[in-house]
Formats: sequence, structure tokens, C-alpha cells
Amino acid sequence: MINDERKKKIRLMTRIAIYEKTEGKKNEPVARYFRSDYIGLKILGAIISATLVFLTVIGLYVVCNSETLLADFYRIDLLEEARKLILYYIGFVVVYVSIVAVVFFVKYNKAVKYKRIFSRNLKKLLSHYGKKEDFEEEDDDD
Amino acid sequence: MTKLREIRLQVVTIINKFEAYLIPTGKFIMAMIVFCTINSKFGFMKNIAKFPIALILGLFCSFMPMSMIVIIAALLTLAHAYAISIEFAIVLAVVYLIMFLLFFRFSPKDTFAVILTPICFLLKIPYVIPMSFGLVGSAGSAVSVACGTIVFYVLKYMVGAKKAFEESGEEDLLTKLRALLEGIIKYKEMLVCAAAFALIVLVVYMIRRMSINYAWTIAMVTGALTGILTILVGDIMYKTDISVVGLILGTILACGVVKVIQFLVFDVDYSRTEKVQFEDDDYYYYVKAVPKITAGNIKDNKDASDASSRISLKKKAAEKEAEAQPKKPAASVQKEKNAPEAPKQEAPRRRPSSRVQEMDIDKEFSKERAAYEARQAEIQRRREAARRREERLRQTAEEQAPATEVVQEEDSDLGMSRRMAYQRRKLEERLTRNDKE
Repeated sequence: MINDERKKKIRLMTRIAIYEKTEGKKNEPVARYFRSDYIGLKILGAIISATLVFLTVIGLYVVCNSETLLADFYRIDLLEEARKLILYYIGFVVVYVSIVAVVFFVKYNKAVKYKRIFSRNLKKLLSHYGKKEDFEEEDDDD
Repeated sequence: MTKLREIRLQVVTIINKFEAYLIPTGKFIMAMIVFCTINSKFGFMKNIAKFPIALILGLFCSFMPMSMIVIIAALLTLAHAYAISIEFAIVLAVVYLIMFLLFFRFSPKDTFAVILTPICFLLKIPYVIPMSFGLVGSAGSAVSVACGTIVFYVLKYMVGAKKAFEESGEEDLLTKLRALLEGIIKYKEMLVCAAAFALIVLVVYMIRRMSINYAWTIAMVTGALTGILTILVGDIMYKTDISVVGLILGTILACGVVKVIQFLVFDVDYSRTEKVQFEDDDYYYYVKAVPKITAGNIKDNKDASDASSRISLKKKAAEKEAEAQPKKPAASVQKEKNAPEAPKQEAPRRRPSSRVQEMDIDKEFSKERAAYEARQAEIQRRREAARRREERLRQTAEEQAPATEVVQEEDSDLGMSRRMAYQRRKLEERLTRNDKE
């Protein structure tokens, strides 16, 4: 009862619907950004998180060793310690941010690839509709 | 196996049918297991370690997203840690904060692994988790499984530390905090297990995604060996207290559980693998299609263990059919004899049953074809009529003043094509939006 043309159309529609229901939900918010924007946003979030974690760890270290730190306060070379701390911080942030950047770069590319396939399917579906003269007429009437 | 597959099919059908009720029930059971386990093993705050509270929280979680169970479980453990003393709560909060800020951004959907891992540790089957998450999850699951392992060991360490502090009578906050932090950072067993579990997830995930036959089984075995080797090496290097017998037995048990998961999720027949190649405008496709074994296509699966018995059953059935065949023509001949002056027809030929079936199919096909053609002609006729009617309406509308009567849309085809035109417009809009984005 169903001719080949219609079968193709139904297959495309099903594929599109399944995509929108499963992968689409995940990919749509990702692929809406430009690549640089998306990864930039993620890197910004990663820097904030890394800073918070670093501050927490340093805070905990200071609290734990407060007695020795207070006792040796005047003997410590503060400038040297600060320089060391900043180096640790930069190292930690760079490592974490590079991991985040790689992970979300891959994720973005995957999302865009899926979206491209989705768009191609949509175009194919449209071309199927385009072949039908009846619908063209209907369209003109409307 | 066939019976099991039929049961599986029935279970899937039932689950699909009552999905709306079963998902909240499953969440409720999961939440109850988590909260009751926390209350029994870590329930230091007596006010909230009660069953009615766990029940209320479980009911609340049954209508919430899965991550709600994780959040409530984290808050519960924090409250219990606070009941021990403030430094326990601080350390636990820091551990949770680090996990939340640094790791959960990679796989927010896998938070489920974080609560499932400690529960499997308590059930003495921890090796199930990395292997099953490697099989059904993604590479990001490694982070979640490692986090779950760390949570379990931190809580375990805290229970031990509480006893130690009580025995030593230590009261100073800073000393306790320092001891706790140092203990957790230098907890070798935790570090070895977390690393091994993450490695198992990655190895299993990478192998099961390969395009090789029996990928899942190979992944399972490799994952098990990786786990045993990593933990043994860790044990030798850092002198942890992991029991080797427990490790091996646990891994074997995990393989059994994972095999069950494989049966439920990935039951395929590699002997009937098809390899095909084709192309379209953009790509060449090298496709390897492995058929799933379901209760529906089980008849075709000759490699199943009970195939021989099924074949013999089939043969018997065929013989019976063949015996039954000649009887029918005999009956028809009798009828013919009863009819007055019936022309003597040649005795009905014996046909093999498959041939008869073929003929039936041909007849059915020609019938359907005729029906199809008739329907097409009818549709064409109606379409013509609708067009004529519409033209007439337009003409009358042009001739007369705007008519007030409402023309009901009788023809379903017309409505259908209008709907399709509407759909097409919608699609076009969506496409242009996509292109813009």
C-alpha cells in the first residue's frame, strides 16, 4: 500500500523524530553556540571552579598548619611563598583547563556532526515534499 | 535459552506497558536502598536515621530526577558526619565540593554511578560497577566510578577514625582535622582502587566499541584481567590491605553479573554477521550488521543450543502436514461425486505444502493488488471531484456576494494535503532556523 517514495519519507521522518527525542536534546544546546563561544564558556567555568577548589585546599592547609605557620610567620619569606603559590595555581589551572578544553572540543564536534546529519535529513525530506505537485498547488492556494 | 529470551521479551513488554508506574517505583526502591544503607552504616545522627524519614525522602525522590537521590544522599552523609563532629563534616564537604566542581562537569548524567559504587562495595561486589559502566556507559563514566570509590573509602575511613579518636580521647579540632586529611590523602587502598576502577572502565569501554566479533565478551575478560593486575601491582607497590582471594572471587562474580547484563542489553548472533558495502553522494559505507537474537527471530537462529530439538520438532510438524494433505482432496472428490452429473475432473494433484503456500501467496498478492488499484482509482476520482467542487465554489463565490454559509470540508484527501503543506512550511522554517544557527 505504501509506495517507495512514501516509505523513504516515513523513514526520514522517523529518523528525524528519533534524533530530536534522544541525541537532539543533548546536542541542540551545544550546537547552538559557535565553537569558540562554547569552549570559551566552558573554560571560563573551569577556571572559576579550579580557583574555588584551589582556594579551598589552600584554606584547609592554612587551617591545619595554623600553629606552625603562626610560629614561623616572621621567618617565612612571604614573597617567595607567594610566588610558589601562584606557580602552583597556574600549573593546576592550566592542566585542568586543557583537559576541559579537549573534552568539550570533542563533545562540540560530535554535536555539530550529528546536527549536520540532521539538517541533511531535513533537506532530503523537504525535497520529497517538493516533488509533489499537489502540495505545491496547495501551498500557492494558502 | 529460548525460554529465557521469551521471558525477557515478556518482561520488556510489561516494562514498556507500565513504564509510567515502574520508573517512579524503581527510583523509590533505589532511593530507599541508598538511604537505609546510609542510615545503617553511617547513621550517627539518630534524629534523621529513622525509617519514616527515609521513607518520606524516598517518596520525594521517586518523582524527582535521578540526581536528586545523589544530592539528598550527600546531604544525609554530611549531616551524619556533622553529628560525629564538625571536622568530619568539613572534610566531607571539601571532598564533595572538589568532586562537584572539578569532575561532574564531564559526565553529569553518570552521577548514578557515584551512589551505586558504594552500595556495591557494601554488597561485596564492587568489581561489577566498573565493568558494567564500561559496557553500557561512556568514557566519562570512569570519572564517576572513581568518585564513587573515593566517597565509599572516605566514609569507611571516617567510621574507623571516629573509633580511633574516641579511644585516644583526642579533643583538639585542628589536630583531628589534620589527622583526618592526612589519613584520607595517604589512604593507599582508596587511591589504588579508584585508579584501577577508572582504568577498567576505560579499557572495557574502548574494547567493546571495537568492530570485532564478541567485542563485549573480550572487553569483559580484558577488563577483569586489567582490574586484577592493576590492584595486585598497586598492592605490591603501596602495601595495601586488599585481599587477593576476595579480588579474584569478586572479579569472577562480576563477570557473571556482567554476562547477565550482556544478555539483557547486547544479545547478538555473530555467526550470522553480514558485511555490506554501498555508497551515496558523500560517503562510502562499510557496514557490518550483526543480528540481534530476540524471541521473535529465534526460529532462524540455528546456532542456539536447542536448535537441533527445534529442527526435529519442525520436521515432525512437516510430516504431519504431509500426512494431512491427501485427506483434504479426498473429501473434495467425495463432494464432487455427490453433485449430479459433475464433470469428471482429474484427481487433484498432490502439491508439496510449500508450493501450495506459494500459490496462496500469489493469490493473496493479486487480490491485494486489485484492491490497491481500486483504492487508487477511488482516491483519484475523489480528488477530481474535490477539485471540481472547489472550482465551483470559487466561481459561485466570485459571482455572488460573500456567502455566509460554512463549507464543511468533507473530503479527507483535501484536508490531508493541506496538513502536509502546513507540515512542509513548518519544516522549511525549521531548516532556515537551523541554517541561520
